Amino acid sequence: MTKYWSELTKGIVRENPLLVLLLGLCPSLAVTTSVQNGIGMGLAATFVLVCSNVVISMIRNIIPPKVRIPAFIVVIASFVTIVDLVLHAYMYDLWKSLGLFIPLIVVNCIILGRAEAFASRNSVFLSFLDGIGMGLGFTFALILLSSIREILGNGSFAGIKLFGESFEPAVLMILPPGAFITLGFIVAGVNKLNSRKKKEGE
Amino acid sequence: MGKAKPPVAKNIIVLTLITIIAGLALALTYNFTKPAIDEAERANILKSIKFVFQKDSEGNPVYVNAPDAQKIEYKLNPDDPASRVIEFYPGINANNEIVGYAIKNISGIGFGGDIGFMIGIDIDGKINDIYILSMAETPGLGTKIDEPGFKGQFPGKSMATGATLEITKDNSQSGDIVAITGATISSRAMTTCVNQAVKYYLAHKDEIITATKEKINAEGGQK
Repeated sequence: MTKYWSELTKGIVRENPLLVLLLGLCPSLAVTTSVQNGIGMGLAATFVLVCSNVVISMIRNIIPPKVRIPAFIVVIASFVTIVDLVLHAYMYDLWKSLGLFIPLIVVNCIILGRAEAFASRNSVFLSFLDGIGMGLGFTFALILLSSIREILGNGSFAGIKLFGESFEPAVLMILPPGAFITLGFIVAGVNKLNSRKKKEGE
Repeated sequence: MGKAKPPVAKNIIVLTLITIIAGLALALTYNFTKPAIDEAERANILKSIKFVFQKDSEGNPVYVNAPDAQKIEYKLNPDDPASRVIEFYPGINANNEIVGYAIKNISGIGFGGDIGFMIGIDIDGKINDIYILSMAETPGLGTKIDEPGFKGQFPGKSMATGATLEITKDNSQSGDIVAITGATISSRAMTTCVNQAVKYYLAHKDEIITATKEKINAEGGQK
């Protein structure tokens, strides 16, 4: 039981894909200009991650090692396209706001990274838990990053204005440099937290 | 030793099988979702037309039931077969008079690809409202062209005197539209696209109105 629990929770802080493993930086830095974007990207990526982890784990024994990377990419890209089509057809408004990020999920190396490092070596159920944990960890990191950027750079949280008219937002935080600056501070904080935990453990 | 397949052949077979299955799954999903996607796209167009038209005193848009049936299309550059198309959707009031148009025009100079606009104008070419049909601008920057702070600068502007909407980066300079900080390209794409659509309308006004009347009469004749 503890093994399952640990696979589920490791993605959230201890092995957070964005803040500790530093995977998937490209789409993360690009979309975290507002909290809504962060949540949308996080949930869409979680869905694809869980599906691709499960399928790759199911077919892990029939894929020859030499062609595993193209095989993973085909599975991931297919799921991304299916998500895109289904959202477009049945959830038009959500698709309109998420539409920009869905194709970005293909190039999100968290998904390929988890397929390679975890799903191709573990059972279907463990891969499913890993997908959920990593997905939630990614979503959580995106929300944290985008909250800081949106509050400082736009003076709002999830589109709601927080300050009066006199507040002059620091536009830099919405622009690409703001993403790197914010991420740098968050990663430093998480490293500090994790190293303290390790010391306590010893 | 039996005849073992060489490993290369196995690689090829497995990978081919995976891509065939993935291709089949995608084709099925595409076929299954195609009608729903078309319907959703049409609903989006109708919604945008409703949004940009003038409203009467009760807040209802002045338009007939299925304005996409009376759509008129023109090629922006008639000599080029691949030219962009500009679409005019007439707004017709209860007395069967044309009161304005919703113009669908696409900007090719956005920061993240094409941006689709629905621009509502009255019969004289005065802008009523604008709806963004699709865009892939930078979230949080370019996407601000859809927020009231920027988009709100357009309604009420008129180009009937032959003027062009000018864009400026600074409040203190003269200009009709103030660009969004950090999203000058998106701002310029929208302004240029609106200019182009309204100017096209003004230049071809008689032709467009005649064509609309013909469409309405043809429909009436069929009934």
